Amino acid sequence: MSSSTELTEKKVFLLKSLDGVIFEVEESVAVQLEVIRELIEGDCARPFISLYNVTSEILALVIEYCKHHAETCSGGTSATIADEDLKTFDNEFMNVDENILLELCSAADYLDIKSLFELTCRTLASLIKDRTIIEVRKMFNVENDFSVVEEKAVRKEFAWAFK
Amino acid sequence: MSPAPEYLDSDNLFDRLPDEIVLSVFDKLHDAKSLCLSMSVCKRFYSIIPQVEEVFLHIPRKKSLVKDSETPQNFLKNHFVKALMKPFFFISQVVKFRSKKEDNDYDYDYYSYHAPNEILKPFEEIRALNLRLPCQKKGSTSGKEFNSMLKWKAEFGSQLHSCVMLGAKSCIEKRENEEKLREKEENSRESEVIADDELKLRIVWTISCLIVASARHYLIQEIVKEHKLIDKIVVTDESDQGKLCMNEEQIEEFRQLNSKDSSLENRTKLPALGMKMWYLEKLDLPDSGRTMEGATLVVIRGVGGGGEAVKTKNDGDLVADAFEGVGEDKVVEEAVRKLMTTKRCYTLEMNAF
Repeated sequence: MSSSTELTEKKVFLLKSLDGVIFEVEESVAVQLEVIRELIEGDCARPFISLYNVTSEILALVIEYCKHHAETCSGGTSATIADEDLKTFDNEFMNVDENILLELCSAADYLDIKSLFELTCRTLASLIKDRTIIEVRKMFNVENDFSVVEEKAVRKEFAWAFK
Repeated sequence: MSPAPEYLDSDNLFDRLPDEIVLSVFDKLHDAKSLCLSMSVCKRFYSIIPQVEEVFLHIPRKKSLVKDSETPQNFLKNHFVKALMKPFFFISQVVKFRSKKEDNDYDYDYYSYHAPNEILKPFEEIRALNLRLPCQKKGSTSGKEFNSMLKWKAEFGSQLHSCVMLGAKSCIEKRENEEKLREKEENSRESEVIADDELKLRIVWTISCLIVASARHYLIQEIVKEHKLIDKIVVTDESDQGKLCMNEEQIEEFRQLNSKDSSLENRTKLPALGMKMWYLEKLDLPDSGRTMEGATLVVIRGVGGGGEAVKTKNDGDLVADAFEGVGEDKVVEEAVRKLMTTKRCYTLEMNAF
């Protein structure tokens, strides 16, 4: 099979973000978004698929992620090398601020990309782990909505965890 | 597809995520301490976190020994911890060949640990629980200073199903200049027979392991009772010496046949046991560059009782399962493989105790 026929055979799909930006993606990327899989398979994906819950900034990242995963998996390298490569990529990919991370997590859930959802959840969990309450509140801008009395009770309940 | 969301303006980043996603995040946290701290962050977390399904609890030491130590609850806690630590100490005694004079020095920190059941109370929906027990003394890991090694894994249902143990008096890096000497010995080692006192020592090791394992099994009784959804339990310790495991069927068996034997106050009674033992006075491990002295592998199975799944497994599989993925250890894997290929294998039987 020559490479030119391969190219012509590749299907592309258009994804439209919340803010109206259109992205062109190959089938290998698009099928990773479980939420639109049916549309693709049923050939209902024309002229473009609107993804109302995802901004262009986040969608660009999601596509980067899916693209890398699709390429690595079909690259013909051995499974262990591919695994290593994906691990490195994932680690670097997760090197974003908390804001983006939560957006990615939410997008992965909405678009139904299991591996990305797992990855973002794990990363968020690791950010929370071994942090103090105040640090967690600050990092995610979470307001302390316990009353003074309630907070005292909670602290007592988990006294062992407060050292 | 749903219309554009309006929550994007919220300052609180977590407000953008529905409860199920927040739960998914905390489900990846595992660490009980971090989970409890997170529950103290805000009301929403407080209500979501108890639904997590997987918890890892490194049983913490208590800071203050004086505070509220008179309450009945604490009495129970202390009782628990005592049960747990005593055999543990015993085993470190045996492994380290320490003098008996020190027998009393373990008393001082019995009372400084929290009972896991108390801590796990908020987590009502746990399915997988991983407990890590503190060691007797900080830093005193499985006899490292004496180079001895001991690793075991026990599987329990309502009582012991199986236990695999690997032990050695020493496991040291092989020095280059010793190599020739070792090779000589290697030729003769197949014919070596275990000496009486060595055999006794192996039996003491084995019994110690079994006692520690059954104390751990006792420890988790209450937890299994109170957390109805649990279907996987692993109990390890800070020194990574031993591991107690229970899978779904074993926990089910445990729930159905939980006959509390009141004759033992702090451990589960052990059934009659059949043991198989492989022993080599010297064992070279060229792949991992170590030499073991008095290397011993023991496979123990409960006679009668439950554990059908274990019974049908051959020794090789049982051993492979037991030491699968033991962190440091190419050493363990290699030692086990070599020990099992030795021709001599001792068979022993033990009454219930």
